Amino acid sequence: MRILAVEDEVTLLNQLERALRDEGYVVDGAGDGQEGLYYGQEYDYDAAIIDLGLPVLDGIELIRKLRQADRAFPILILTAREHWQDKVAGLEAGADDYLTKPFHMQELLARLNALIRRAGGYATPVLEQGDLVLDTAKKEVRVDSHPVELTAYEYKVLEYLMLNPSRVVSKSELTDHLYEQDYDRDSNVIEVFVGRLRKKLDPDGSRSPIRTIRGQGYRFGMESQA
Amino acid sequence: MKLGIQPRLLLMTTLVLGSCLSLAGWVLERSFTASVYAGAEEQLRLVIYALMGVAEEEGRSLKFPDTLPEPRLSQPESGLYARVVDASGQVIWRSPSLAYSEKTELEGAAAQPPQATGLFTFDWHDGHFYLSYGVIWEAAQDARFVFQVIADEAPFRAEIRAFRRNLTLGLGGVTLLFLLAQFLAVSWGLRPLRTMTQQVRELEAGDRERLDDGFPPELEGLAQSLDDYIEHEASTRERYRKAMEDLAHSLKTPLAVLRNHFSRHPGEDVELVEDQLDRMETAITYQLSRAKVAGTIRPPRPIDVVPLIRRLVEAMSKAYYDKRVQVEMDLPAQVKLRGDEGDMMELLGNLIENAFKYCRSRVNLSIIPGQWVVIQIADDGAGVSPEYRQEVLARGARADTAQSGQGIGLAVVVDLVSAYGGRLEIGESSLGGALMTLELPAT
Repeated sequence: MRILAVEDEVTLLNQLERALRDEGYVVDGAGDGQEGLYYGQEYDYDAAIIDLGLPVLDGIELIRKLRQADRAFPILILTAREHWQDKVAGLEAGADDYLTKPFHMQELLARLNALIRRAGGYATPVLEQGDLVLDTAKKEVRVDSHPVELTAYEYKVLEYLMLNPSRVVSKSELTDHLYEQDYDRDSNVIEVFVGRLRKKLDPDGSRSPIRTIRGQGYRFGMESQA
Repeated sequence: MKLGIQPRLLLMTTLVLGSCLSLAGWVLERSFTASVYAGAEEQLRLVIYALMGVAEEEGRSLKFPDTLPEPRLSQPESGLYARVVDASGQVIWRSPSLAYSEKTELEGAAAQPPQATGLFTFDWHDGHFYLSYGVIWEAAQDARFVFQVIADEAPFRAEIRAFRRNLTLGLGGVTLLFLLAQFLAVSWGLRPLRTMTQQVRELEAGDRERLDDGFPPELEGLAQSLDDYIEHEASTRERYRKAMEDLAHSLKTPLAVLRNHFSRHPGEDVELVEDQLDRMETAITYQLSRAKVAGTIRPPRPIDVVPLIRRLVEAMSKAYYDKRVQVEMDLPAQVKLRGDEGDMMELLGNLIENAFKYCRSRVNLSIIPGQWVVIQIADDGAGVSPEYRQEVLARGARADTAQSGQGIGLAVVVDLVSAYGGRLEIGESSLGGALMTLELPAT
């Protein structure tokens, strides 16, 4: 999952980036509204964390502009000035949730998680497709109630595909969303992960959780056992 | 003295006007009377001269013809009488009008012997004018005589009375006109004062931000000073508020950094550190919220809280989407309160957020309009324990004993409610959770 963090307090931004990366997210950090807008328009994100009190371009304006540019990813507002007017204005401009500073990082991560899976169409932290269950909170996967061991990246690929169901996800999209920009990426790596995932999730080949669409990418869709 | 300016002016000018006109009237009447009397004397003098002209000497006496120069002297009850008295006081001649009238009251006056000669003596009493003239008649061997003419005062009196009546009417009319004109003048002159009073009242009520320009020079200074004063007061408090906000803001970020640092690198004192950090955050948040109460800066204007509540509920529903809260609202089309929009948002925002946060799945909102607007927010959560209710309401929960979250929110609400002169009651709702009853004055 790729996150855009826009926060003008450098120390806080660094902490945010670190915490998000520890959680397995890919993060792009911006220090002002203009930069944030540029990133938001240039790249594809799964969610954004935006501080309201930004220089150059105000937080609420940034949200409005992003929505106008058809950027539909969920947005979590951070605000130190706790006027309800600001919170309501932010939500009305297009944000989806708010958090007041100072906050517990755990809470931020939990809310971010909730926003992302909400955007994927899931109402709870536990994603279910057929008899495949992925618990985003505990980061556990079960197939037919049996736990499945996945590596960090395998998990990330599966999670991303499950959160974008019934949609073709290209390899480059996967790379963009799952790897930091400076990582030496090779699309082959994705193929390897997908291959391994298939083996672990569907040992006897009856479920085909991940379909390959030739020339385009992958699509997640579980056929339940008859 | 509580007498208004307008009554003062009117009273004063009425008194002055009244006195002046009365004085004028009196003077006029006096003059007229004097001139009337002078006229009477002149008339009588002419009669005496005429009589002297027709008198003929007879030895040491005088005789007069039957036909007299003044016809009225020959008519009985004509009101004009004449007689001539000799040196011993004997009446040597009476005019026919005197002889044939029964004017016994006049006889007494005849016994006056001649005093000085060549001198007219004019007198009036008993309803008649008396003009006497003493002469030395050369042709009658230097005998002394007194010619006396008597006239009825009645016609003259009537003239004076008529004048007095006209004068009274005239002056009275003028007085009334003057009074009316003066009333209008004073009203018009004082209009700017009334306008200013009205505008100040509107200022207090919050219907107006500053006084209009265009007051007359005498009031301009006052209007300007008032506006400046209000501006100054407002900006002073605004500055204070901003200073508080900036302070809190600048403290929050280091606190956030510290907190995150300690959660990543917990040492052996982690509990103590987190505790103190909590207290600092709570204190800042609380004091910041208190400083934000804008209602004390300017007189609050009437605002409709129904759209505010709807916006807050929508925002909250978005933020608590996962909880799928069922909201039931019983709101009138419009409910106006006197208050700052920011303050109302804080007040209601905190209460509604608490309801969403602590409910299980249902929140009910209702408003009962009236002199006191009653807003009720109910949830189906765990409710608020009685001890905690006391604590919160007692003073608004001192910052260092408040739990963060529910405590802060409610503490701010209590502060705001008391700043606006309202009441907050925490009870149990029929849904099973807490029932917040908020009462705020409508004006």
